[in-house]
Amino acid sequence: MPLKWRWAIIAAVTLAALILCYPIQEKIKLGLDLKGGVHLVMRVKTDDAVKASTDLDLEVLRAELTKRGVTPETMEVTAPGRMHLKGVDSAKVSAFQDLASTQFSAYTASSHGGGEFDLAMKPARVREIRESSLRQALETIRSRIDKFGVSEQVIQQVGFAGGGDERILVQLPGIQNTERVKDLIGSPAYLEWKLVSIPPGLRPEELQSRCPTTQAQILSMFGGTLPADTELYPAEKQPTGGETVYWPCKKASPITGNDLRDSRRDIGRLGDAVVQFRLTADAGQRFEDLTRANEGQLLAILLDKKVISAPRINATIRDTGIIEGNFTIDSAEDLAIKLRSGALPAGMELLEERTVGPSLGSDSIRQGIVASVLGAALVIVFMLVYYRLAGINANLGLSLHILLLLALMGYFKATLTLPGIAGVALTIGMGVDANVLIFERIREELRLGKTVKAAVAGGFTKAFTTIVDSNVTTLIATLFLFGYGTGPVRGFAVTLCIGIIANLFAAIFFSRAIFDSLLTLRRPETLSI
Amino acid sequence: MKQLQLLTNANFNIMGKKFLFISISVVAMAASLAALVTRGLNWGVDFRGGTEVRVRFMKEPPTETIRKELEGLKLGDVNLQAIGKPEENELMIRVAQKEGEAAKQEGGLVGSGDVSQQVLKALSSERDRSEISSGKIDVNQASVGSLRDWLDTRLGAGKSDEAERAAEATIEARNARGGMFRSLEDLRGIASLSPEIQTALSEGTFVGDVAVRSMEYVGPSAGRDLVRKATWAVVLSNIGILIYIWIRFRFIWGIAGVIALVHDVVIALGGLALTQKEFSLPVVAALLTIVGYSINDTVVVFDRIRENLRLHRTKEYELVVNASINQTFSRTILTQLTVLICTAALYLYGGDRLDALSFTLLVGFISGAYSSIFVASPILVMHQRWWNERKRRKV
Repeated sequence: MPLKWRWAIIAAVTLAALILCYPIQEKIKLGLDLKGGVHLVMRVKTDDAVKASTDLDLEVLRAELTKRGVTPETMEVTAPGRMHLKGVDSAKVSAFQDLASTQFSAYTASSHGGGEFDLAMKPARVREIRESSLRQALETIRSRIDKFGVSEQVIQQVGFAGGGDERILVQLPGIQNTERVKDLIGSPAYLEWKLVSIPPGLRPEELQSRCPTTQAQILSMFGGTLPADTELYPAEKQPTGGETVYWPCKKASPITGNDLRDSRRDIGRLGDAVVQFRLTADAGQRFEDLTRANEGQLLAILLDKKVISAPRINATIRDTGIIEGNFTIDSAEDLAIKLRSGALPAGMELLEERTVGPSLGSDSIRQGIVASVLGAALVIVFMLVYYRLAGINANLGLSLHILLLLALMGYFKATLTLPGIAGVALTIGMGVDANVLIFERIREELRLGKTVKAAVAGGFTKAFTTIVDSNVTTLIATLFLFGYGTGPVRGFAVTLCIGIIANLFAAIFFSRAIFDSLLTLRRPETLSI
Repeated sequence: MKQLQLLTNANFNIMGKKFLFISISVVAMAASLAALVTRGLNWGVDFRGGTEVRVRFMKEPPTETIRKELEGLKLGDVNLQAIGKPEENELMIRVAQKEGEAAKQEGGLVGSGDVSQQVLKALSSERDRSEISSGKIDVNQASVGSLRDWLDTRLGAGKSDEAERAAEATIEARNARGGMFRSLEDLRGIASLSPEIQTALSEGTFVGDVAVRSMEYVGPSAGRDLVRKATWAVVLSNIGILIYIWIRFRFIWGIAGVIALVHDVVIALGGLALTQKEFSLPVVAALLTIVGYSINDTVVVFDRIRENLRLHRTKEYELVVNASINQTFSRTILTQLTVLICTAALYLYGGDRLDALSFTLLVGFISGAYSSIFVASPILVMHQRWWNERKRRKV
């Protein structure tokens, strides 16, 4: 290729690189370990969703069987996606099998003889439930996190979908309050309204003034046994150091979080933080009926089976209301967010949690840059001393290499992490390797008595295969580093990989162009190398 | 002008002493393995699971008191370690995963932060606790959110925006001071705070003795997964390299290259076991870099051997290999020097968070330079000799 063309390419590449990495602060994203922030990895317990679905199917099956007069001795869910039936009347076995194969085609039924059956959910259905609960969890988390208003947040699925090993990665740069984040995204947020059971002989307001109380006290109020429709639910705020306190509530939940249309933080009558909600039209009608029929009674509001508050119904409420519960501004906001985003379909297990303070991050950046600059400066001096004028060539190549590295990182939207800085420092050291290989070859050729021009050409040609072989093998290692690495390891792999590519351009193409230009312009008899 | 030259006309009889060099390597590897077996690796929180809290203290941390206090909480194995520069008074507190911790975790996300919260509580001094119980808040522990809320209620209605801005400015100023205010005087230096907020802050806040630098928690199953992934990454990259060298050179050369690689990785691991530097995710990255770099070095030598074998078909194999090593000697030394300069700079000035990574690189690179010359090539020669012997016998 003619020299003119080569310089045109170099100029174009350099210009493009400059544009790509200017301004550098905006183009290169910093990892959480440098910027500070919260990093969470969670596993969605999709087994829970499969289990819940199996439970539901069992109830449907029970109802269908009863309709057909089939009443097995026992029917139970033995594992997520598995049911076991025992004691199906021998005369009804065919009726059962008929039902199982038509209406329960999502299950494979196997008979153990003697009226004993196993029902196993088909793998396709299991996968479907897992995938949809994962998707829903992602959506729920996303809408909850969105309210934080964090820029550059990461919420994504990692791991294999449908295999029961689904993970969700959440990264929030600039946030330090991990507890709040975890509480916000981790809570199932299942909201219910339940009427409070009033013990006989007690007025609602009397109970309200006493409650919440301990289990034993409530039992004695009811004369030793709870009514069949009543259950005890713990209060959300427990007294410190004392016994757990409860509210007696009816089992049925006439209104749940699914009936919500909207919720937001508001200021209550006393200037305290409250959560205001709006119900859907249909639920509004039910709420109206419920409140009209129970005026003066207590209506408990439960979040995840815990009673937040149990206000007295003072008037008929249609579709809007408030939830009071000694909220702070933050906790009212958080509850409103959780309610708006809906309940999580399955529980989640926290696998990793990392919080880096911004001051530690900026210390790390400073130290990393000092080390890189120092390393680069020493290498530059070393090359100048050792190769003299040719050293200038190598150092120009090194500068181009670093520029290209930054530009490519900006282009690929790569994230600079702490090990990534180490990767940059390292490529500076390794960057001159190709130059050294070439220069040493040129020296060898010169020692053999070749002319300057022939020595340069020979040096480049002979070093070329070596450079390709050695860099490709390094690239192979780097690719595995990228493929299997997580977080900072990936950042390191990216910088190293990009560094190698930048290096090849700088050391072979650019360096050769300089030599060739020099040889054409000056035609030197000797080479300062 | 005379060239500055380094070993340009090197003519060492390396192959003549190949058994000596191989013995050195065998001894070094045996020592590394012994260190690995007897001392083991100091697994970091990434792999072991558990909680790590890094804090900065105003004064020298009362290590013994803290240790006693934490052990009293029965959180699990507690390990305290001073970290960073001595004048920074930083402490890394590690709490190992307790037996049965995994089962307790089933409850969900909330609760996993218990350990770190308990540790923080245990760290606060008598004075800090009494300040908190008197209703003041600690500006060294406050987050933007908590400070904003506090200011919000204190300033009264209609000043939420101002509270938000002030909270942000305060935390930013704290970050600029290394994450810690030294006294309430530091707060007065923040220009953007209005006199009203200044008064509120100096009346209702105090400067705590402890500031959190970072907090990490890794669950037990995550650790196992990371170990598995890291192992696969090392194994697969070795296989990938073996295949590439096999295609470009010959199978036995690939084997020799991979033996040299394993040699370097084992020695780097031995170095980690000896010094008990923490084995963390970045160290895995360092090990894979050693894999990449060591093979890079070896391939340069191999390339020269291949070239010389083509040029001098009649010469004895061992002589050709020896000559090739000598020809590439100056390159090996030069490249090693530049890489070592950079790695040493990283080790000395990169800060403690890069300490284990740069140490691993340093050991691995030195071992890598040695193995490319003194391990991989002798294996080629020994193999060739065995091959010739076999051929002779067959004939």
